[in-house]
Amino acid sequence: MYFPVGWAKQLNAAQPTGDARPLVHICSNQDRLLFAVLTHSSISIWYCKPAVQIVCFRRSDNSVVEFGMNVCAKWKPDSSMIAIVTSKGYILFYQVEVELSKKNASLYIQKEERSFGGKQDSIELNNSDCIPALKLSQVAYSQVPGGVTSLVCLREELMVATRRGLLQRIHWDGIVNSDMTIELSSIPFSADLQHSRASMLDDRGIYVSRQDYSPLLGGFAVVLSNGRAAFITANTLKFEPSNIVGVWAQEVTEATTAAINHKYTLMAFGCQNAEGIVYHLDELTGALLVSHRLVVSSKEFPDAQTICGAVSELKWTPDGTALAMVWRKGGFSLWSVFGALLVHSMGVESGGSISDDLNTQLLRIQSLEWGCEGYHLWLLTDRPDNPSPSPPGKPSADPHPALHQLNFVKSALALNPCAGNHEHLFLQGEDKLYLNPEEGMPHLHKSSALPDSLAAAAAFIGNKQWQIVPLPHTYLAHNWPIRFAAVNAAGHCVAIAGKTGLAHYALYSRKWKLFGNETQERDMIVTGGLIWWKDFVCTACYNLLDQRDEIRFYPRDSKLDNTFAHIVRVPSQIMLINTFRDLLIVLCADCHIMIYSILRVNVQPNPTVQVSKIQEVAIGNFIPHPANVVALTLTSIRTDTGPASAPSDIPDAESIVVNVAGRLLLFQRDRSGPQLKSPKEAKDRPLPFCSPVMVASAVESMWLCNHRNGRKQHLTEALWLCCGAAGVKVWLPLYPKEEQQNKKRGFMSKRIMIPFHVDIYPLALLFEAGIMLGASSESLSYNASNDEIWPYLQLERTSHVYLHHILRQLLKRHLGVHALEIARTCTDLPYFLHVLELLLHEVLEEEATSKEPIPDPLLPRVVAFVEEFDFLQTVAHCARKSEVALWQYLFSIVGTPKDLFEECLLEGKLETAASYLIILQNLEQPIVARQHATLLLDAALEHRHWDLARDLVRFLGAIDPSEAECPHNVVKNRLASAPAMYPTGFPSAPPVSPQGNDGTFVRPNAARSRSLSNAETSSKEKSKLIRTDSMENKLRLRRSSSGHKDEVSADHFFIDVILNRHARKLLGVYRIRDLACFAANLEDYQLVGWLRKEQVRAARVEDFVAALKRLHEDFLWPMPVLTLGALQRISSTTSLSCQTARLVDQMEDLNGDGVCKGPGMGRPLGLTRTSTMESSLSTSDVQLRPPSSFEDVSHTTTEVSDTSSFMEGDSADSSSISDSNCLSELEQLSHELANRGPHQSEVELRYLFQIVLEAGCLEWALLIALVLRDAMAIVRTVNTASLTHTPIDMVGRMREGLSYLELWANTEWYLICSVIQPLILRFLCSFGYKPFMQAIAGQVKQLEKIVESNPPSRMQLTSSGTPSPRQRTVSMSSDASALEEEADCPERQLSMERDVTPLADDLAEQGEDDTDGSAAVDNLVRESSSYECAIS
Amino acid sequence: MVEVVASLPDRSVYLAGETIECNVTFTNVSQKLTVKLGWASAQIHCQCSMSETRVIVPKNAQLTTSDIPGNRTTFVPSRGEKGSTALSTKPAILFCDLNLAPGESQTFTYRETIPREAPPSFRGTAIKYSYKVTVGAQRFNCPTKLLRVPFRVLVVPGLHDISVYQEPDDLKPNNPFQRLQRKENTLLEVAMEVLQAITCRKGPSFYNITNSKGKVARFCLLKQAFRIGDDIIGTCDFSCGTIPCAKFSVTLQTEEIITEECRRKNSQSSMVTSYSRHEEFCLQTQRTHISVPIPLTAAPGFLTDIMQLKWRLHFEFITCKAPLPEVDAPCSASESVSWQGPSQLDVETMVWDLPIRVFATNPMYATSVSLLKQDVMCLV
Repeated sequence: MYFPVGWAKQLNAAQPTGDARPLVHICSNQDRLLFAVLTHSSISIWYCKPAVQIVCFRRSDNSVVEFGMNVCAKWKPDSSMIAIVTSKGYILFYQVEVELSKKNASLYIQKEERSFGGKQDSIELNNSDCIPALKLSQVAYSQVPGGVTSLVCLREELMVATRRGLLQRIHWDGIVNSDMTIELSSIPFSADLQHSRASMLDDRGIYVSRQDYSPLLGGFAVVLSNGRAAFITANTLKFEPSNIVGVWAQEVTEATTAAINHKYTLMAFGCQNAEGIVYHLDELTGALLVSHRLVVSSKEFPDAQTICGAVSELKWTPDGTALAMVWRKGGFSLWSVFGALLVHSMGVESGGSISDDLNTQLLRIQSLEWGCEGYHLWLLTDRPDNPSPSPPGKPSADPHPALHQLNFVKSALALNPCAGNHEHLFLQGEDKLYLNPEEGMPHLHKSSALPDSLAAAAAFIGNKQWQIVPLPHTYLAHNWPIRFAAVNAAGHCVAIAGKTGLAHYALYSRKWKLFGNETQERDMIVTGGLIWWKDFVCTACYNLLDQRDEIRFYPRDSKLDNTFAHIVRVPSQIMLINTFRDLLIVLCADCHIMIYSILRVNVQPNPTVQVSKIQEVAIGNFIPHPANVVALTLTSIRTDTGPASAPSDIPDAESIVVNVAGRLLLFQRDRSGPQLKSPKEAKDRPLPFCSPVMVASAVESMWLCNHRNGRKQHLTEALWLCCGAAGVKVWLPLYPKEEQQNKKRGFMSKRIMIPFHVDIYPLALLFEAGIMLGASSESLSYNASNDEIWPYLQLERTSHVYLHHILRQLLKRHLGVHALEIARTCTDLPYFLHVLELLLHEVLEEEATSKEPIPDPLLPRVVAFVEEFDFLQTVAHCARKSEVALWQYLFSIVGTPKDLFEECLLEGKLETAASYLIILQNLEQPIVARQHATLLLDAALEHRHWDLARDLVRFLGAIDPSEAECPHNVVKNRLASAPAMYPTGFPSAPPVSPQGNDGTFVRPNAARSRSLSNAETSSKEKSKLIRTDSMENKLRLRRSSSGHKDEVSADHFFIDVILNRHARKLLGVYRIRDLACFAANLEDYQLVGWLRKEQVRAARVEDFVAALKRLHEDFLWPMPVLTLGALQRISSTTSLSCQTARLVDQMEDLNGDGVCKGPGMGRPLGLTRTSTMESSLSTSDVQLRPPSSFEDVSHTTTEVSDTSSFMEGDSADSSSISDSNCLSELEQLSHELANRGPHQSEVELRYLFQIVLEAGCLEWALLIALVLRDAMAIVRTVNTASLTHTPIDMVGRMREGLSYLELWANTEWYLICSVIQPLILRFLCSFGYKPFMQAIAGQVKQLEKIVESNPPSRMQLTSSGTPSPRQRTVSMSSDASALEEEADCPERQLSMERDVTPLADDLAEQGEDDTDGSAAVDNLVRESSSYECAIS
Repeated sequence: MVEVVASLPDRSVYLAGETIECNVTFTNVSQKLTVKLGWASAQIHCQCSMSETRVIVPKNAQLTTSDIPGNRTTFVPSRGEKGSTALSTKPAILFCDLNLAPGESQTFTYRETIPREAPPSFRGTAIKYSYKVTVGAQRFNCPTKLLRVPFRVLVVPGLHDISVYQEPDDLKPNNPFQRLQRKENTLLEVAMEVLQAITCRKGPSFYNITNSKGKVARFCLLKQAFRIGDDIIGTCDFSCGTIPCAKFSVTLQTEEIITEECRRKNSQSSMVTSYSRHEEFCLQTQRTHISVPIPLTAAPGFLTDIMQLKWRLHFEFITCKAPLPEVDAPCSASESVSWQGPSQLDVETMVWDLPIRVFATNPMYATSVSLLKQDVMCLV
């Protein structure tokens, strides 16, 4: 397909002969090397490449007066003459001849006296073919009475249409062949050539205004002056007047121009209403049938009809695969052969200030002509009289009309539809090739497509870069333009063929291989295509030297030379070439298809091939002309009729598929014959082919998967077709259920043709990935050049997911079973859920907006289908992306959003539930939404979805209390004017969810603009948006008026209740880390304030041991290291397994949370070992945990090494630890402190410590200090307890808690034997607390002192009554948990009482801080105040 | 026999400063025997090979063998490679003592951060920098086997301290519990932003091209900084010229400049490599444009201790010495006039180099065209 790129090149159209009058016409000769450009009085001939003027002839003024001005021209087929039609009804004949007197008979030879020698990489002066030195001279003229409306060239004559209703034949010498003159009024016109009755034109004034001729079709497409269009033909190509008949093109009444495409047997007519109608010539009846229409839909560009005006010109590309169409008022468009709009100038955004109108005016194209191979389009543009304001510094607009050359890039499929080109997005430009970088997805072609390779494919599809291969200038210099290009299946090698010879390139070496011997290059012309077979370039070419047609195989790795080539002679010219596995299939010009087998032979030093013909099939009866065959391939697919071959893994070539002018014919092997009985014989002699069946019509290109994928059989065994305006069709196999298959062996699959529309023009298919790739020309505005007529066009890649189309069509045809089967094979695609969403959305949109009732709605079936997959999410996402007006319809089928919401909650899909909440809010009363939001908030808090919880708090806060009270009419309103009635929004909130589309709370407008619907026009959208704004304003007003302080506070109170309840719950089970996260992640949650309130309620700690364990666990904080004594008591093997067990345990904890709790988890992992063995629980299979920071490599290593260091060290046996807190021991402890948990945990713990200390939750402060093993922190805590107004029962609990902890540290060791193994280590480690406990014994004493010497004044402050300390102890002991331990406490207190160290002593001993206690307290106060600043 | 497969799962192109991940799978392919591997270790190293005729390397600039970490062991990643080691990371031990039952397979993931100051991968004429992940493994009583996975490194300038690109500190919450939701920009994201910022389109620059006789053309380059894989787009306006220009070409080139102290000869000139070229006959062209693709496989401009790589557009204009012949207007109304292009043009060639800056691109894009093998296999 064709895509314009870059800016149009502007040529200097000023005539050297001084004629500046407007350019009127451009016309190329047959080989498109020479272009004749006419002004009113002169003719100039341009060379195609380089685009340079060869000769210019200006007629004398007398001649212009006598004969009239130039109107249009036609070249003689041999390019030796030009006929020019003048405005006064003359035809002037000019002879074009090469001036042999000139040196080399060529022009523009550059000559330079170079002082320096030849430089490398330097530009070559004359590297192109010589530009012929032509001269023009008028040789004859002929007057045509009535004037000429158009002329076409009919071999040796001109066919001239006159205004008098005649079609005259004029020889090139100017003599009229009057015998052959056809009178239009004598031609019988009919609807077809068979049955319909013919009639003559009744109005004699009618004449032919435009015509186009095709010898292949054997007739003229004519446009009559009354606007009707017809095809004029005769039974011979001589067009004797008596034989002439006309066939009406039905439905056309206002035709303006005509163009014939002989390759596809199409006739395109342009009309007054800016549309084009393309007819297909039916071979059987000779009738003209409408194939398709060329209409710029309002979606593409509204009101094209009035802005563009009538169609003024239609031009097919030289290969007939695209059609350029221009309009009288301006504008240009390009269509694929069967009517897909590729590009149009109205849609491209003009750069800078040029408005749409002006842009189309600027592009008022007078005349156009395709250049060689369609790489250029020559345009004569006619600037408006008042040119656009040109930029300052530039001379005001050109006085000359402009001659432009627009560059094109075309798909390699257009001319060379071979197998390799089908699998890659591969485009050829004038001097470069564009290739899709494929390396990101190498595994896609393997049968076992891994999910990660598909993800890679998805990433690759997002990549917009092209791999551009520049063509070698040395090859281009002599062989421009490139005709054929081919890429191999892997996408690593490309081959090109131009005028002569060929060249190939390997991407990995980045080197071109050209013929070493230039004569060999010049002696071959690639005629029938180019293809890679394994590592050979296979080409169908014509040998100029020996004058014969050949197929050649050049090995890739050796030099490009005929000595290494394997050459096969063929009897006639080859039109097309293709391969299927090891078979080569060619179409010869004599309408025979030949099939060869290829065998690679490894001969040293260069490999070669053996080629042998196995079959020849004559298809002459089925095709009108070999030139009509567009594509040819062998395939393994079959129709469902006829018996099948024996099933085998690698099916043979079962059918030949031929695309004849867009009709796809399938020639299937005939298995009905007697051959079936002797398979051996059948192998030797290939089966004949049946007569063809037509599979589809209007086919532009087809794709067949050449590899098999058992898993995705449906997608790889299908035949994919691109049908232009009719979209894409897939001929899908439907496999019978397995039971059926067993019953009826060999039952072949049925096939079904599914058409669907896609937004892109497909050029390549990724079969398994469910994606098609295409290209488009996207405009970029560069302000640098705002006087360009055209914005910069960049070639972009496009992609389209097609799976949902297929699923939908299958569901529509009640083939849900098959749809399910296909969908199940594709669940591994990264965008599978997106496919489901698209499916649901499209059906919903269509059926909900349908004006008439739908008899058999598809939506329920689609819903049932989606239920097989992730139903809840798909529905939620689909609803969110659809308009609110459609929701009622949607939920009437899928079930109420309430139920779905609850289902989500049950399944723990909170994010999805949040989506439903938004829906609920729009469909239900606000009170209901609030209830559900509350439910969800609870769940979110429970599952630690902090982001969601935060959003929900905001959501709840934003529910308008007044709405909650009078909900009914609001709901109605909402349904009526959907988008405007989205909730009040989130007033002060920043963009709520950062993750874009998956976000749960998106502002309504944003959601709308993201809506998939594109049916609305922009104007509609605008008005809606405005309304939204106004509605929002109203709501805001209402809010502000009704937003009573009480209500707002009540509202907040309500939220606070929920939050506080959750906070209490967390603290109740000692999950203080979760609490901290909770508080940190919910905006404005005042943790300190709340904790202060809860000091003696939720924040009190009843079970210190449990709380301590929980802290260790939550913060991943290692228990203190066990001592040697402890180690000695258990054998080394047990300890090892213990450690393992503990690690496993911890890992389970981590994984169980689902949240990445470990602070180190997100960091780069240094080394992880994963085992592929199944028995992951065996002891040898240690799963290493990622290190969280540099110091703590991993738990195992740390602990093991520490243990060993103890062993080497001063054997600190537990029994040897004295009860005195000596300095040395503290030092050792501080060493031990180096062995800490992750850094992040420490930061968190210290932060938390400050918080709880500030809030006065001293129990927790104590616990955290303990975990941190920070004696200083304990000192602070104790100081706080003694210096501030601490409730005495809290101090009591602290004291008791410490006692329990000590008891636990002392005693639980002995329980080991009775505890199951995984727990051992935990206890073992906790045992390590003992030394620390002893170290802080002083502080325990201090606490005790506080309790005992409790000053009465403080008591008064804490509580109304003044209970004695004793009483308080009693009240405490009534607590069930503390009861049993009550008795032990005094004893232990006594034991500790031995050594009462004052606080200051402790500090001095530790040497950590040389200030005294008061200073420490000061510090503390300062720190806490500074902390407050930080969090406020 | 143990089959070792090392593969780079995501891509084969990385930015300096990114963490490379390499999966190493050890599979015991023998039928009956359990194989015991002594150790396996992995390391990244960058090999710099220099043309001896052009480059002398000052002794102090070279990593001596003792500088390379891990060199005391039998594991020498650069063993058997040419040139010197420009960079080498600490070897990481994948395992010690691994027993593999028949058919058993174990996969280890090696992760290592490529130093930010690393030189980029480059294949020049005089100097080459190439990167490899080397995996060494040894069976008991067998020699060490090395396995090398090549990869490509791109360098984005200005990433030595990516914290400057992070959000300012005062916006960061200082509550450590909020860290889960805070999104730190990864190096790749930062690098992409930096690249976007330095290569985004700024005002076009215009160059009036003149020679001694007058004005030839006006060239406009729409931007000066590019990423590899971009198209260099410029316009050429001949309508304002006074000297006819027959032809012009634009060649994308790199210049490999050896720093002065490393040059073998003082007079030594830089080495120029040409990439894509745009060539056009422009005698009767008023306005045209160039679109020169920068190959995704090329190295962006860079500077190391021993060399510098610069990018430029090399222009050649072939101008006519004399204006094209014109024909006089007809003297009488009955006279027709014919003009023919000149058979010969006396021309002269003018060259001009326009420096441009070429930066790295998203390594994912570069991977898509890289033909480096991402899986390498050997038997131990």
